[in-house]
Formats: sequence, C-alpha cells, structure tokens
Amino acid sequence: MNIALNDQTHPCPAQSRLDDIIRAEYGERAGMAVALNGEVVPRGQWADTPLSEGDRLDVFHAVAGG
Amino acid sequence: MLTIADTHFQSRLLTGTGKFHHPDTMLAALEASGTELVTLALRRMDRRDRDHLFEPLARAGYRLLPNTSGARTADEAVQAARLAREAMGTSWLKLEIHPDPRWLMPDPVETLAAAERLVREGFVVLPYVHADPVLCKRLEEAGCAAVMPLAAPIGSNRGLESRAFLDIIIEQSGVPVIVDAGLGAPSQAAEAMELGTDAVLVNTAIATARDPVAMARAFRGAVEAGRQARDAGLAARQSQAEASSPLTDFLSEATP
Amino acid sequence: MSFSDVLKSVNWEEERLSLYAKTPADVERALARSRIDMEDFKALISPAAETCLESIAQRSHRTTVRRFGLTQQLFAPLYLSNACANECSYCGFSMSNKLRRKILTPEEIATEARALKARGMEHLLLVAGEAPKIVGTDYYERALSQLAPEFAQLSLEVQPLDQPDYERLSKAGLHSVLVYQETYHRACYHQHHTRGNKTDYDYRLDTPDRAGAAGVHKIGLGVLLGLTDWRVDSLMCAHHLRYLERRYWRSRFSVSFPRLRPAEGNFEVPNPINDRNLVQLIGAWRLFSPDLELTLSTRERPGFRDRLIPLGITSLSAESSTRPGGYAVDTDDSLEQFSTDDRRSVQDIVHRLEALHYQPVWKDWEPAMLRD
Repeated sequence: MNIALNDQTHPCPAQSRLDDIIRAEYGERAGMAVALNGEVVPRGQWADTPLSEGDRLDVFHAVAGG
Repeated sequence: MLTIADTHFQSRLLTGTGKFHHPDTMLAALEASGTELVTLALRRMDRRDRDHLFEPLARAGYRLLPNTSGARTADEAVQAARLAREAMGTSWLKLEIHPDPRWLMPDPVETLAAAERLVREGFVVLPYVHADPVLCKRLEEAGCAAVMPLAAPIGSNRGLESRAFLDIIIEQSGVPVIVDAGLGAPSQAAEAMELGTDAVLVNTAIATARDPVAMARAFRGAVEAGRQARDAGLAARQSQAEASSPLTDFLSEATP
Repeated sequence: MSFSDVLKSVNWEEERLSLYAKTPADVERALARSRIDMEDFKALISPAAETCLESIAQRSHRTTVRRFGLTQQLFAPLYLSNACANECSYCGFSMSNKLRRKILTPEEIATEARALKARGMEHLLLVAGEAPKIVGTDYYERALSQLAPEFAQLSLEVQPLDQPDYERLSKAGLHSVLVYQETYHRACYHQHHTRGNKTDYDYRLDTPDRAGAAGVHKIGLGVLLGLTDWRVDSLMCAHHLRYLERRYWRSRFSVSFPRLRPAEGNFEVPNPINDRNLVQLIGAWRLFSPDLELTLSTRERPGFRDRLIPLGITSLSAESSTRPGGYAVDTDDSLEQFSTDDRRSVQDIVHRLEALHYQPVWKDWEPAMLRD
C-alpha cells in the first residue's frame, strides 16, 4: 500500500504500523513528533497505530531556532 | 530571581539556538551565556537530517522553549504547538506567528486568538509581539505566562527602538516582560534591563559574532550588570531646571 | 485573587520602617527619575522630603500641565440620603447621632438637580449614607436613570456594592465609583468603624476590584487623612492603586485628600496632617501616577485651596452642600455630614480659576455618543 510521508508517496507493506515506518525511516530518536492525518499521535501509541492506504503522515523534529 | 509560571530562573538571559555555524559552537556559547531557557524550532524531518540538537540540549539540562516559527495563522500555530509539546516533552511555548516572510513581523490578531486557545489546552504561552501595551494586557488577560515584545525588527541589531512603548508595557504588566528581537549589542541588553525588563532573549547577535562564545559571555555580563543597576536604584539624568515662580512660598507665610 | 490577598503580603510595620529610613539622597534620586516606583514614592512622602517641597511642587506642576493642560474639572456633590446604619467615630451621619434623617424622593432629586444645573454643573457626585435596606441598588438605579439624560457624568459615593450591582448601575448611566478605605490600618479601621456593614474591612477593601471587574470607567480611592499616620496609610493606598492600574487597565483612577474636620459629636482628630505635608502628599501622588485624577473638596479653606490648585489638582468641587436637599429642597443646616470651609459660589471659583490661568471644564465627555 501507499501512504504520504511528509508529502512524498511512500510504499510500505500492508498492515504496517506507525512505529515500523518511523523506525525504518528515521531510527530511534528523541525530539520527534508525528501527526497522522493531521492529528498528533503520542509516542506511546505508535506501536498500536495501524496505517491504511492513503494515510498522511507528517514527521517533525526539533531544529535550531530563535 | 526571574519567575515564569512558578518556575524560577537564576539567569535573565534567554538564548536562541539558530544561525550558529556549528552545533558545538552553539553548545559552547549557550554554556558561556549562563542561560537556562533556550528556544528551538520545529521542522519537518528529512531522513538525511543529522542535526541531533534535542538530545544534547536536553542532556545539558536546559529548559526548552519550542517556538512556532513558520506558523502564519492561529490554526497553524496551535497545530505546531501540539507537535512541539509531543516532540520536546514540554508545554512551554514561544508563540510566534508571522505571515510576513520579509520582516517576520508578528501578527497581533492571530497571536491573541492562538494564545486564548493554547492557554485552554494547558500550554505555558510566551507570545512574541510588537511592543504594543494594549495587546500585551490582552495577552496577559488571556492567561499568557509572560509577554515578549520586540525591541526592533528581528535580526536588525538596532536595539531598543520601541523604548517608549516598552516603558509602558513594563509599568503595566502583571507578568514578566521579556524583550525579544533586535538586541544587537550587550550595551543594548543592559539598557533593556536597566529599563526594568525582566529578561531578554538574544540569538543573532551571539550566533553571528566572530567569536560566539566570547559574545555570549559578554551578553551574560551585560544582562547581570543592567539588572544590578536597576535594583541598585539608577541615578537619573539631570533634567534641566526650569526657572519659575515659587509654588510653595505661601507655606511660610502667616495665613495664606 | 483580589487586593485583600495582595495586602496580606505587605507588612505595615516593615513599610513604616523603610519609609522613615529614606534619606535626602533617596528623595533626590526619586525627583530625577522619569518613572516613580514604590520606593521613590516612599521617599517622596517621607520626612526626608520635607526640605524638597518646592522641587516636588515644581515637578508635579509640570507633569500635571503636560498631561492635563491648564484645566480644572468642576463637580458638585448631590447628597441623596443621610440615613445610615453605620457608626463611624468621625462622621456626622453616624447612626447614634440625633439627626433628622432624610432620603430624597425623585421629585426632590429633580429639584436639587435643577439647582445644580442652573449653576452650570455637569458632573455630579451622588452621595449617600449606608442604609442598604432603604437606599440600595434599586434606589441608585432609579436616581441614575433619572439624572443620566441631564448630566454629562455621574459618580457614586455610597456603600460598597457587588459586581452585578455595578454592572446594573453602569447601564443606568454610572461613570465612576468612589469608595475610600478611610484607613488601611486594620486595627485603626476597626477602632473607628464600630457598627454596621462598614465594619467589614475586607469587603470594603475589595470594592475597587468589584467595580473594576464590572467595567466601571473611573474608580476613586482615598485615605481619610488624620485617622493614623498619613504617610504609611497613603503608601498602602499607593500599593492599592498600582495593583488596580495593572489589573483594571481599562479604567481610570482618582485619589482625593479628605482631611478630617470636626464633625457632629466632638471628634478629636488623632493624627492631623498639616498644610506642608498635604502639599508634599499631593505632589508625591502626581509624580507616582502622572495620569491620576487628583480631587480637592471644599473641606479646605479658600486661600489654601487656591494655592493647591497648581500643585497637581485636576478636579474641584464648588459651592458644595453636604446634606440631602441642601441646594434647593430645604435650607436647614443641621443635616450636614461635615461643614465645608470654602463656601465661595461656583461663579467665584470660576473667576478665581480664570485669574490663575486655568480653564474650568464642566464636562469632558459627551455620554450621548454612547447612548442609543
């Protein structure tokens, strides 16, 4: 199936969970936040959040700023 | 001691983390500045990003103050705030909304609307605004933990151009006043502290100095000196005496 | 959170000691600063400032003229009632005083109002003793509604009310609320207010909070000078003002300087304030708050009053009667709250102001702009 990851089409296995995608793409990191279809998903729920075809995933992290 | 939302700070210098040429320099400069509260931004992540900023900052024990830079409306700022809270594990927030990409002028209407919503959602909101006394009172009433009026356009290094209005804000405010943006030299930071500002936020002037660590140290000294001068009771400039007829001579007359 | 909570953290004795420890150098520094803070105010009302009266007066005069121009607002009190269920040691209206009690009827209010209008008065201060069962919010609402179409500004100096009352009265035309704490010293307060609702110090203290929350345009504070040490009492009032200015920033504030005078019942003034100190106090208030309205009543004698005008005063009463019906309804002097010293006519006051190069202001606001 395909999801949109930070506005890019991203193919992934059916029945993927949020946790799988983040781990594969970005590794284990602190200072991240994820929104699934515009709703923030707390880190503790990533493993229990299944993805479906066409889901939009936005991944953010802390960067330098004033 | 500076107290924001029941949290105490020894240092009255807040620093930004942007515009440094290297993360190590940034960390060294923050340490030299003595700051306890540092701002961070939030961006979409690229898998090639190697900028691991969050962990070293958190490890060094700084309290983090995520900003909402990039937000152009109240809706975007609220969404950015929720993401920042999740990413950085803090509900503290520097609320900034600037629809104008050139001068990064804060939008007062969107900022007040966003502040009201974010306070309801439990955020500790520190809004970046124009030095507008009425707006600052409205934000205070909305429940903001501090106000952050600008001294001059961001990155302009022009100093306290909004002085006359900052004066009023400081006198009226029931929450800490943190002067943000436009402070280009330690002397300007000291002047802001002498004026009665509770704290200042400095980024560009430190980050873009030839020696950011030394400049951070200079700002630290200036902020401390300005505050000490304020507490010590500044002697004011002598205003010119005006010759005029005496107003109180009648008191020594027998019966006025 | 209201001012009674704030005042708990202000210690009278500590403030007194710090005030009396101020030096001439502290006064000099305060006089040179562009913004006067609480420590500066302390210095300006301290004994150390008594040698700098001329400098204080000069600066107060300049500050006042810069903010208000060469103008003086004129107003007259209209006593609605002298019925009172309180016992206050210094007041002629006290319950135990054998005094004919009078509550003006709507017709009598109209008669009094006509007499004041004929003198040119546009700002009225409605005054009443505290008898809430007969003279309460309903009575004031009727009086305000009756007078609002005729007058530019209506102020109320009556018993403290609740926030919803102030909201109701604002709709009826109320512009300002004056509730003087009399003294901020709690023990002294209880010593002089021994009966009636006024014995509730905290309820009275939080009245400006309730008026501010109700959106009242102008709120008046004051210390009854003479009950206790005027310096410390005025300092507490300054704490009150600073708190209110920050919190109710949409409202304006006024302070007045009632000096205790002999009232019915042979009251000895415990801590009288002399003329020099009154001049010092007026100047200190002006420097502390440049846009504060400072009011002078007809309690003071004419020559002295004229001298005080340029020192920071912005509003004056004239040809006042301090009893219900005193302007036109009846002419029996025995009902008055206190005797006035400046009995000059409104016309005389106006001529005097003109001679002093002040413009008398009868109204500074056109309420018709807000009415449907």
